[in-house]
Amino acid sequence: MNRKYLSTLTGVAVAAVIATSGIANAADDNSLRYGEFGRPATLDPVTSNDMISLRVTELLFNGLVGINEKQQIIPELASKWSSDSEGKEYTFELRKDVKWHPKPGKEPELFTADDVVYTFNMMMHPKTITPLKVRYEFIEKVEKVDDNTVKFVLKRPILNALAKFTFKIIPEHGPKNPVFLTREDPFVQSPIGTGPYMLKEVNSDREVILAANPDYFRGKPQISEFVAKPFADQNIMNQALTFNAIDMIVLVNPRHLPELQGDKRFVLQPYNALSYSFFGYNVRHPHLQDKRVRKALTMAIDREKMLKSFFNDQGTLISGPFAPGSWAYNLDVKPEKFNPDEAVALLKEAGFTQGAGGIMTKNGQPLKLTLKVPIAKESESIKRVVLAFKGYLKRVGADINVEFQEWLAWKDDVFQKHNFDVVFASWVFDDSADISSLFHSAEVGAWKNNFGGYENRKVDSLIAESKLTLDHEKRRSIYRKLHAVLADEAPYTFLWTLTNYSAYHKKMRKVAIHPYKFFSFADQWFIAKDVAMTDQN
Amino acid sequence: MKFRLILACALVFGISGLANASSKDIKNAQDSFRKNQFNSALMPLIPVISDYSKVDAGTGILAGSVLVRNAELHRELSKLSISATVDYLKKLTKTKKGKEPSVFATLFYGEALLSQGDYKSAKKYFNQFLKKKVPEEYKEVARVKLGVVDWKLKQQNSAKAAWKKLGNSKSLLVRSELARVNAEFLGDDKQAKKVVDEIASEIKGQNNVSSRVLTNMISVYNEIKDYKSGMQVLAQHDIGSISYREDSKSGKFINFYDVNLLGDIAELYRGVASGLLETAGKDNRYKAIADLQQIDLDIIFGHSKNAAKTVRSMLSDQGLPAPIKKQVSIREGITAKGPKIWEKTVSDNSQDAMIVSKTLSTCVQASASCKTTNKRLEKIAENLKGTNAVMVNSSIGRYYLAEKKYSKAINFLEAARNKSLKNKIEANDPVLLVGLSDAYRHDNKYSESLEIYFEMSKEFPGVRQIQEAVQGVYAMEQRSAGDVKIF
Repeated sequence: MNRKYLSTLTGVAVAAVIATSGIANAADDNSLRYGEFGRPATLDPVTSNDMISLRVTELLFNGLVGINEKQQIIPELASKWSSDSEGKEYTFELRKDVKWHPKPGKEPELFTADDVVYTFNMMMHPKTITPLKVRYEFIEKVEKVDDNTVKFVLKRPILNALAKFTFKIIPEHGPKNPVFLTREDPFVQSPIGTGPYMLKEVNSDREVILAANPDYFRGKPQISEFVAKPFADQNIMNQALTFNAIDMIVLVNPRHLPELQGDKRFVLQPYNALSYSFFGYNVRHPHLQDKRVRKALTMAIDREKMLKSFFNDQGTLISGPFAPGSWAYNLDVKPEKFNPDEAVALLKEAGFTQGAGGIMTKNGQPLKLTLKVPIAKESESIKRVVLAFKGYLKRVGADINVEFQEWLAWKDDVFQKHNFDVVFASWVFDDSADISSLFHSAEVGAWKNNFGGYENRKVDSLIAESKLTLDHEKRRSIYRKLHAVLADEAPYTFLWTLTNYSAYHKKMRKVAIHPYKFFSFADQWFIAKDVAMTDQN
Repeated sequence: MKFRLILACALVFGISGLANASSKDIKNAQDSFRKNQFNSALMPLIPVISDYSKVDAGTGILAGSVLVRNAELHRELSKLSISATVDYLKKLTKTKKGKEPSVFATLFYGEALLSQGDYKSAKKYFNQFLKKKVPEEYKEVARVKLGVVDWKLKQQNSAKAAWKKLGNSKSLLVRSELARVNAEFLGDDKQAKKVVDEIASEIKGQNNVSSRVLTNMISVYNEIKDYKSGMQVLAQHDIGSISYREDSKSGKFINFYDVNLLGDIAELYRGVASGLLETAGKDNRYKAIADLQQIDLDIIFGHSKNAAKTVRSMLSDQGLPAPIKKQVSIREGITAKGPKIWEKTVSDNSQDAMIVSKTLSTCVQASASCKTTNKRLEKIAENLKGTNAVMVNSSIGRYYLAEKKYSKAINFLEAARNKSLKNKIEANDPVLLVGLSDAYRHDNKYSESLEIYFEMSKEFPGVRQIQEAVQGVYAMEQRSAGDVKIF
């Protein structure tokens, strides 16, 4: 099938999708349809651990405080706050005019201190499935002072404590289970919050439709509806944007950037600089327990060539657990050089000998590993990366079996069952550069982020030390050490940070994008009425 | 654009006939220059151009062009470094409860303030540093700096007395500092050269020489116009090296850099470029191109009178080829005070986006009033696409950057940026990237800034000092909950 024909066919397919869904015509002029590559697993802020969910929850919920574009702490559900001189007690006065989104057929309930106490206690409950616990272990307790006042008592003063109170508050009357929250609770699919948008429905196409909250405490948002449209194919998502079937793509596939850059209808905006891709190892596998094996796998692959060949060099190689845009990146640690001979030497040093078919073997066990890749993130580039990984490792005697899995099944295998040897994935960070949930030994367990089961005392103690210090420069020094240690330990093969751009139609105005949460300022966005939709150049 | 075409023709012509560098070196330099790798372009030419009076015209034009771009970039980097360093050290010197104070921050903050011309504040911090328990040679460095403050505050006798007391110091740092003041303030070029030449012999082959020593040496060679020796310092040492690492018992370490380094390097490049262009201009075939480059160099470095003189001289030359004359007229605004000529140039060429764009960028570089010029260009920009749009948006972006309107600057500079290879200098003018990084830094989008520096530092090691300063500010400014999610 030639490319032109394929392109026409894709165009027809997109047009057909648009026509049958009726979105293009039926959509309110004042609604914003945005494309996501995949769909959210849950819609609540506690159990979710992926970016697609995070973006939806940003529209649905609020924290006690927020952070504005200038990195200043601003009031959200709390109107005022104070702390004691030691920085161990934080008291928040809550707004009295905040209502929860109404449950079907019911009047909206008022937000109170009980909801704050409930959220914290539920979040920290041992049976609640959430990656948030590690982040809030510094809080000893929360107390209701009165209906509109809460007090948090900390175990110790910490750096930037106030910023931690950006966690989203959920209603006491929301979840079915009043004590803890799991992914089985209906609330995680039908949440109610206090945010600028309310969940209207998740339709049969798995589109998440959010309607403007008329009672939003900062005033009804300008855009009447947000529709998150899931796409399984990035080409079709891009076509949908150019055909005006959607107004925004949250993350543009780098290969589509030149086309969109040349189209004057769209604005391209960078964000998510603090992200990176990696191959993560399950150190429960007897062979992968040995850091020499993990380092050998890292040295066996030519990351520079992969980045150039598969991503047209649209990114930056990294050497450790932070992105180059992070304040914590250790500039002295350079990415491990591609050196297959050294990789083989390391495997031999670790006790491997070449067995049948050239596969390295130790104690009768061949170096055969299963690599799991989420299919929702499947793209031509990713396929090439994992196949190259397989090819490179074959040359040093490691046999990689690649399995593509549906996104939710992949998450289940990786985060819950730990049924994998190697994964290909990417992390996105807010700018705290907090890697404790990824590498601290206390974070090994079901639905926790240290899914590889990596444990190292030195790493644990550096993480603990970083949390105890109140000195920014000391914390920076500790993180640089952490970077060096983890680069040497290679619990992951750290790969690269890619170019991340969002694209949106220029009819959208006052668009400020939060570099991590994306929709934090979306209640201020609006859609201009007089902008041509077809003027491409 | 037209100027670049003329320049490219001249370069091709030049290397085909006259170059006295090896053809391999020339080709490497050209390849690197085309990819905006100005430093890589320069390195193979250093052995040939150091004695620029003997360089042939073709090589002179190529090397001169490489150096003009290097000089422009390093001047921008220098401004940015001073600003970022002041921001960082200001925060670092404010010790709060629970924070271990930095001992050396006061010395380096004093130096950064001195670079900004805030002499009284600089004096305060140098005096604070002198009260600390630090190695004697660093106290001596602070005393040299206090002398500089006195000199700037017109207390020259006091400055001389302070420097005289330190004359017997054996410390490499102090000797280099004294050589610097000898050349810069006392006019004792001979003594200054003697000292830095001795230092050059002492540090030959050494790794990790303090950047304080390197920048002082470069500064002396600049003052005495011994650019050949200055270029040798660059070629032989790592200019990304630190000046001092403060390592506390608690495991905290802080790297300090010399805030003068990038400016001294820029000045060195300017000096060599100017010499090369002068040599190349002796060949009539290259004179116009060389003079045009010299005008730009003078404008970049604020030497408006020199630039204006050359502009007038060129415009009065009846034999000047029309395309060159057009290029000179774009720069005519420099010959008068006020915005009138800049605006007339724009008005006379309002259909030519490139001319208006170049007029605006030159106007901005000359620190003139460019409001009307910018207004005109913004109108033109609405209907542009392709390469033209890149140049136009870049000029407008730099205008807003100069106006300190950072969000607007970001909008236009982003529009000029190659999105696929957003941080690669091969795909973006490095000066544009520096401007964008500065706008993002002021807009508190530090990660976007740091990404740019990360890529740039691979080609320009001096960028390391900006990276560290911005990382330091970011570490203190970031307010977030510690979240991380799977993509």
